[in-house]
Amino acid sequence: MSVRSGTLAVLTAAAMTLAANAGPARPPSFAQALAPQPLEFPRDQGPHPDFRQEWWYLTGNLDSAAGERFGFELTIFRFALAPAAPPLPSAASGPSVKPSGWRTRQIYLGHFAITDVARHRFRFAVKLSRGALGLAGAQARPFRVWVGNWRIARSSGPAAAAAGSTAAKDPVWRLQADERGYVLSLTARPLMPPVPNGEKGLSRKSGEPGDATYYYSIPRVAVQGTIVRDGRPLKVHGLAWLDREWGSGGLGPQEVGWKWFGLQLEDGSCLMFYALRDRNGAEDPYSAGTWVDRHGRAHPLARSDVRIDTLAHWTDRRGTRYPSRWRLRVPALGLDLTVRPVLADQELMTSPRYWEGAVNVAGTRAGRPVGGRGYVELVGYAGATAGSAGFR
Amino acid sequence: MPTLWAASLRHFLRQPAQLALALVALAAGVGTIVAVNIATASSRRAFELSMHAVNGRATQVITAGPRGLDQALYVRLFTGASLSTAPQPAYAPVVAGYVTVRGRVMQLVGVDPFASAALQGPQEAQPAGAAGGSTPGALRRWLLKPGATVMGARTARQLRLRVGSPLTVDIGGVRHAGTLIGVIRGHGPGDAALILTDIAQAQEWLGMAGRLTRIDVRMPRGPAGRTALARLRRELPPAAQLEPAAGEVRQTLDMTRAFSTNLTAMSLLALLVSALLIYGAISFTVVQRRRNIAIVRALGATRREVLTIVLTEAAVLGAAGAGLGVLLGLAVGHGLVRLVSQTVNDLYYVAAVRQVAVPAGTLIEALAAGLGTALVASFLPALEVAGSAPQLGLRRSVLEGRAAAVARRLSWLSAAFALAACALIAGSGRSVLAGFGALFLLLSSVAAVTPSVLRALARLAARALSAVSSVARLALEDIAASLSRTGVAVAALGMAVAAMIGVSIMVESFRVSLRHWLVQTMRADIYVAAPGPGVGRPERRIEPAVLKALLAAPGIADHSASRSVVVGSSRGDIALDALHLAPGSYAGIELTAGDPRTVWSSYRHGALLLSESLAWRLRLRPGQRLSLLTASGPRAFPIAGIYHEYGSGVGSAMMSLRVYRQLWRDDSITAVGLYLRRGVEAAREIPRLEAAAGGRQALLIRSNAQIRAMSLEIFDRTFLITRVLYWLAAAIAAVGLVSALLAWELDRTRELSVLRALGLTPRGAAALVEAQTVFMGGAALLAAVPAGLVIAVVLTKVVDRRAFGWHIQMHLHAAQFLNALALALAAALLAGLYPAWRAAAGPIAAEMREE
Repeated sequence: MSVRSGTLAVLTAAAMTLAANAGPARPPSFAQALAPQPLEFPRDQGPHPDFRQEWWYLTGNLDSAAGERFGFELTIFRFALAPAAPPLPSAASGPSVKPSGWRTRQIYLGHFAITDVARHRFRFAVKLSRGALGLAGAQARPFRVWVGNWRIARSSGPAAAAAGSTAAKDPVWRLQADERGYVLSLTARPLMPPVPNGEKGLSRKSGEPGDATYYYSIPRVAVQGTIVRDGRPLKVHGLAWLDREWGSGGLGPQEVGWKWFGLQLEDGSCLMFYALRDRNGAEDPYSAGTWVDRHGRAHPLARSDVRIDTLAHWTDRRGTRYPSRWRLRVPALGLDLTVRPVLADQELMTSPRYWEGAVNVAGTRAGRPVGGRGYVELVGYAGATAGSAGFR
Repeated sequence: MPTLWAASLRHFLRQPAQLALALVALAAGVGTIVAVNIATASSRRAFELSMHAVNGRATQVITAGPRGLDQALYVRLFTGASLSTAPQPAYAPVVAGYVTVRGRVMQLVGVDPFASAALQGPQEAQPAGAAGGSTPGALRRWLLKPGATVMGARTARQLRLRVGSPLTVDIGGVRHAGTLIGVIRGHGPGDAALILTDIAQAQEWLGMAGRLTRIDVRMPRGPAGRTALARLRRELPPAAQLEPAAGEVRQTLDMTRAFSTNLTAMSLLALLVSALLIYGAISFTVVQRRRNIAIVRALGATRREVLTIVLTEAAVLGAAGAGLGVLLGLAVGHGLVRLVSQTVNDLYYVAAVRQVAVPAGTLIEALAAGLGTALVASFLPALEVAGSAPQLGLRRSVLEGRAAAVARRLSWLSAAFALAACALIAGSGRSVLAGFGALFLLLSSVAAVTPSVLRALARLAARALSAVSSVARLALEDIAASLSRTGVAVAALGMAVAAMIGVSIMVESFRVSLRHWLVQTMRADIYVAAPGPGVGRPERRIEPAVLKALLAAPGIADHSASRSVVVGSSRGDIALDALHLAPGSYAGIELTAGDPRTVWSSYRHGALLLSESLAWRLRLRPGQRLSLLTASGPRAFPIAGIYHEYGSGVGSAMMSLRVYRQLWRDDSITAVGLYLRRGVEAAREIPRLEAAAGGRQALLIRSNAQIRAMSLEIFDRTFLITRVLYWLAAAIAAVGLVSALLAWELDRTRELSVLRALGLTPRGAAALVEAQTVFMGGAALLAAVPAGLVIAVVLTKVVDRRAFGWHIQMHLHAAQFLNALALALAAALLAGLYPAWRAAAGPIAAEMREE
């Protein structure tokens, strides 16, 4: 029974699996990402409820005034259970039945994680709610997405000024989330306009027409605020990355997971690349990425443009083996980077389990040394979850 | 010593009937205790389990009045929680009500699976596979399929439902279409009466859109929890109540306490009767073996050895009887559980008692009671037989001489018991238990005086009849002289008959009072109510459109309307009837306190009227105030008067419907009383009203005569247990009498043989024996009738008043006495049958040859 045995983990799994539920059950009436569409704001900041799934994915690296290093992930997923509005209560209930405000087809799931390098701690929490009654939801204007008291929302006034926004039209967001031991509250200011990934924002995941998403990133978002650790506030600032993606499909039938890299280099350029893996562990041809130069111009990257070598592995308590250090080369750009997690264990023991962690980057660009930071995501390594992909 | 044991064993083996009877008596007494304990424990357990079945890890519960909580409170708690590094409380909203599915009363519980899972936390993690929301498809069905429900696998099987089966959920007479989308396997017994659905579905079915029945809260432990609890208290609106999760169980059980006290008293009564019977049985076995024992004593056995033997026998008998009693109790307990749940359903609350809980303590208690009773009952006879000098043991006359002295002493004891009972009643104020204590003292008093009464009557009759028949005189004097054997049995019978008379007078008086009250109160011609289990359940409401159609029916001249709910008060939850009274209805309310000239105007301006029971329970008088929890917080209401009401043992308050609607923002109507136009017949109007409801709602539409009949039927069902138990007590007494008289008469066969030898005909001998036993039955009855009256007075004026606050008029009927008469005489006749037959048919010579 949902009440007795349906734990959060089980429900989370259900919700996430729903999103990836490829196969014959896929209803055709969800909106499909089939062709490139120009991004439009603020519309595309907000929800796209006709698509099956969607997420607002913020990851970032932070430094405290005392020089302590933190990483954070605050992600809110939206899943639609059905393409159409829920049917009204059955006719037998009579005309006098007032519909309940709890009826909805939208479910929101929040993931929040803090990597505390100095304390060698990685903590995460999950929050799940239906998108009804204001318990959880998303809106474009003013921009706001939330699950319970976790939220990412446009702010104005003092918060905007505090974030160092010079012009009033610059969007400034407030984000907040909490878990045992940590409270995160930040203001965030994008340092660049949104960058469409893939083919003008259409990101194909397989040869199937529906297996695609609309996908854009804001690779450089300035963040500052506080982390309360065990009741004590610490001032922090740093650089975050926002990924926005929505669609109704999953991965291709052969694809079981991926590695995702979001790297912010010190020279002002950024690299995003996702490497899809098939059942045999081979890289899938639909792997792709985007190189954003220091002027904010986007350059799509195909699988053949990028070479990734795994240099080390890390095995969790359950024996799941994750790659844990990489050499990432983009010959066309003269990039040769080594990517290292700041902490080996940044695995979210959610269902499905995945690894999402802060990383350091070191290497060369056209022969000159370049450093940086970023986030890496590893999905589909914990056996049971193979195939239940699709949330990034 | 082995000789002694062998003798003891041989004695019992030679007298299997006696052994069996003693065992039956003991087993019946112990069995009653076990059965009653099982019944009350089961209903309690079912209740607790049903509380824990959903959000079982909750530590607190937030509730509000009849309309429940505004769901905005939950939204605020979930989204507005301040950020913190400390462990946070978890909240889970619940929308619940009582429904009927395929004839079974079930609790419909609407939950939000996400919130409930978060409240249960990761500790309760179980593998997926259960129904509800563990697979994407199940979650989708749970949230999106109209009428999706889930129940325990066993319950589904009992209702012949399979996953995918359609089902109809009946709520207050409105039928809703549902589907069983899943079953819970390996569920707890508390789930047996649960039907789960999504919170959205529950709101729609129960007509509670926007409202919540409760919010379950799980507070973290330690200082973080205390801080969070204090903050929560500050955030709650004034109309909300925050209580420990266990509190809800306790409060509901308070309502049933009077009921279980009644049952417990009945089981104690049964044990008391069986104690007397065991005393009788052991006495007989001892008495019959006086000769043996005296011989053994003469052969050198010490007193201590004899005492040990007798007490060991009693212990073995006690243990065996108690063991049998436990088995009997377990068997009867199952049936009694059903009776309890049914009774409680009708009058007090809805608890679907499906599982039988056997508290371990009960078995130990029962075994101890059986053993203890046997030992105590045998101690006196054992002491006596061990104490008598060896040669005296051979003479019964010594024993009987002693018994006469004991009877005299017992008369004094009887008077002392009666005085103690009076003192207890006078000195104990409101205690129900003291009322029962007084009752037991009275019964003991009856038991103690019966031997003397028997002796005096026998002597008196013997003197009166001596001129008529010397045989009759002989027979009667024989009775007077055999007190050691007959006294105990007659006392037990007297006590049982007295209890029977007392209880039946009480029940009948109550019934008559109830009928008077129903006639007085039921002023309208037709009553229409939303059906459903439970009193004051908010989901019992007449659909507004249906109500409109009913009132527009051409035969209707006027109407009264009521909304029955349970509201929080400063003194715990109380049942509240908000009434709009038609002019003709005022006369139906009989005031027992309050100024009749001002009561109704105060009532219209918001004052409360309290039923006798409620006023008694809360110790309230007109002029005082009672604070009720309205939709905008607590508010003190003046009390204008007290009225007569037998509707429930816990009582209710009455308030103007207009005032209620204003303060509770609840427009629903639970029932209406319809006054018909002159010349319109109820029987003809009812089908028209049913047609007006037009299949939209299956309402209870009854004429006032039908309601009266139904109420009395419910009443009778309520007292069924009482009846079952007193018949059991009476049966024990009858069996005891039979065994005692049998033993006595068989012991006397030699004397009868002498009489036969002296010329008494076989028929005369039989008549003599029968006359003796009937005389004893009559003596028991004579002692029991006045005692029964006193017991009835104590039951109605002390116990019922103290338990329920009711004033019940005493009503005496011949039938109550006739039952008792029949029982006493039947027992006596039955007891005499076999000895009479022996006396008539026995070979004279053989009996005499023993000399």
